[in-house]
Amino acid sequence: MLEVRDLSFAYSPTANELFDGMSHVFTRGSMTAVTGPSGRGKSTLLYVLGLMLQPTRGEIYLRSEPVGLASDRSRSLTRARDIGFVFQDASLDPSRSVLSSVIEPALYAGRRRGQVAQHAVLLLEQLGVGGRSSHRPGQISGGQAQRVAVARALINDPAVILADEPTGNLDRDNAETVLTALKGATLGGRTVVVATHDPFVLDHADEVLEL
Amino acid sequence: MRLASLVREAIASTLAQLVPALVIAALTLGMCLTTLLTVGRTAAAQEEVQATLEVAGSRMLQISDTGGDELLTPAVVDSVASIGSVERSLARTTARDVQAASVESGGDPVPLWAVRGELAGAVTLESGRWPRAGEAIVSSAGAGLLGFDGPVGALESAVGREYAVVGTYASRDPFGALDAGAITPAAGTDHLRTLTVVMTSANQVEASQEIVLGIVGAANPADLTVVSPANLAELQAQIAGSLESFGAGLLVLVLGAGGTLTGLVVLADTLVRRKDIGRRRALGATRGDLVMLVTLRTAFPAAAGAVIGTVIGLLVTLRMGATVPPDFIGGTAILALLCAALSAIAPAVVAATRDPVRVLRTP
Repeated sequence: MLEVRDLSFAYSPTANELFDGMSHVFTRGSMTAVTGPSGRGKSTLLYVLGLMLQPTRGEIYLRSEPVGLASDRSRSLTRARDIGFVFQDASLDPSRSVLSSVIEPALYAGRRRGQVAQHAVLLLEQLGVGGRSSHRPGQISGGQAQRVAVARALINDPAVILADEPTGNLDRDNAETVLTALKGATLGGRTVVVATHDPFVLDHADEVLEL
Repeated sequence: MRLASLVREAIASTLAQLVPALVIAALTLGMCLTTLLTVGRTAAAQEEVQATLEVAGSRMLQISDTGGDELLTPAVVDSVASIGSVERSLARTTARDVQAASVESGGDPVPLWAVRGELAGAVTLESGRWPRAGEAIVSSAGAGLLGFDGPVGALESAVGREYAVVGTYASRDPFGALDAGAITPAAGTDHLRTLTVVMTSANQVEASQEIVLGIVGAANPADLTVVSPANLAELQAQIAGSLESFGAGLLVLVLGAGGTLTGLVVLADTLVRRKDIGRRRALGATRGDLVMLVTLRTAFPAAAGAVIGTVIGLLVTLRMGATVPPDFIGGTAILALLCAALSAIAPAVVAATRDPVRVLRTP
């Protein structure tokens, strides 16, 4: 489903190159935890896998198709349709309702609001925040916001979910809820990649990739 | 992104941050108002000058046959009348005195002209009917002098020729010379002396004059006396040109200043909203989506500002007594809106091409 070959990345020509020409297949239907000391590029790897950064060397394959070096427009559309991203701080739009935030990626994928609204409501209910759909991000807790972010990542039924330190700002209970949601996403055959240094997440991952 | 979704997102985004939207609306309102109060009034003045110079007298060409070669033949007169730029024309003979036929002698004489051309272009029939050969119509003033009480009676020339009076008329501008007399259709033997031509527009006088003189075909220019408003037409062109240049320069200045300020507001707004833009990019919005979003977010308040500014500008100019041409009013609103929208594109491109990762990772 998701594979990298000979992958390297540098933020600038003079910066240190990350990943050392890494090659790895992220198993379909499993959750892979990416870990390592600070500065080794855990988050950067997610941004590269999420096609927000282009590798300096090597390639990324999604469903056996090379996508890493495609045009910005092509990568944006792939990101909208096939990749769901969960940010460390949820990154919800403060001016949108919870329901509208979940629907947002669907609009970038070219879908109509009416087509996905019901699915968005269902996702929020499954994640235990169905009663907050009309609330603004400022009116919900951090744990609830992170669950909304997971729902947003799932709205387009993507092949890949990338989560950057999703439990970093959460207490144990909320972390467990979010982790359960991410694990649940793999049941649909999705590839989930989580950048983390949380031992709790590492213990529950199907695979650990150390940078 | 679908266009409908984009429009909806732009509206929601505009309403979420009202301050920049209100500033953009105010700038566009100012552009429209300033344009109408300055350039609009100039355009109104230009139209007034144009209207003043377009009175019939300013469009009149008069050719007099002074050489005695009978250059103004019926064929020449008819050919001139058929020129596209000629609105009306009439040729006439030298006036001869006539008096009321019922008065034996010593009655008050009035001038009689034999004319060729479309009579309705020179006079307005007030009573009776248009004259046939051997008949005449008299002006209201002439009827008074002759003692006629309406279209009755007859006129008699010094050589005893009689013309039955069948109507009365009032002269039309610029045929005021026919005011105090009578007219009768010219016979084939009448020597037409003066041809008066009214052009459709003052700016066609010079070109039309050449054509008319070409048709008349005087071998010796001294055989003709020409009274022409060509100089007046040239003056009109100069005035119109000056007003237009001034207006265009001022318009560029107003729109340029307004557009620059709007662009700066949009740039500042995109800087403030960089996290929002970064999030959208991370979730799959293309650069094109973002450019459209920022441009629409500018265009919507600009449209509101343009409408309000145009209405206020129109009311103020009307109060000041200037009638701004309707197409100018519409054009002002559209130009101001386009200027605002276009000024948003550069900042939109800057925002859309910003690295989303850098934005997201910056606290």
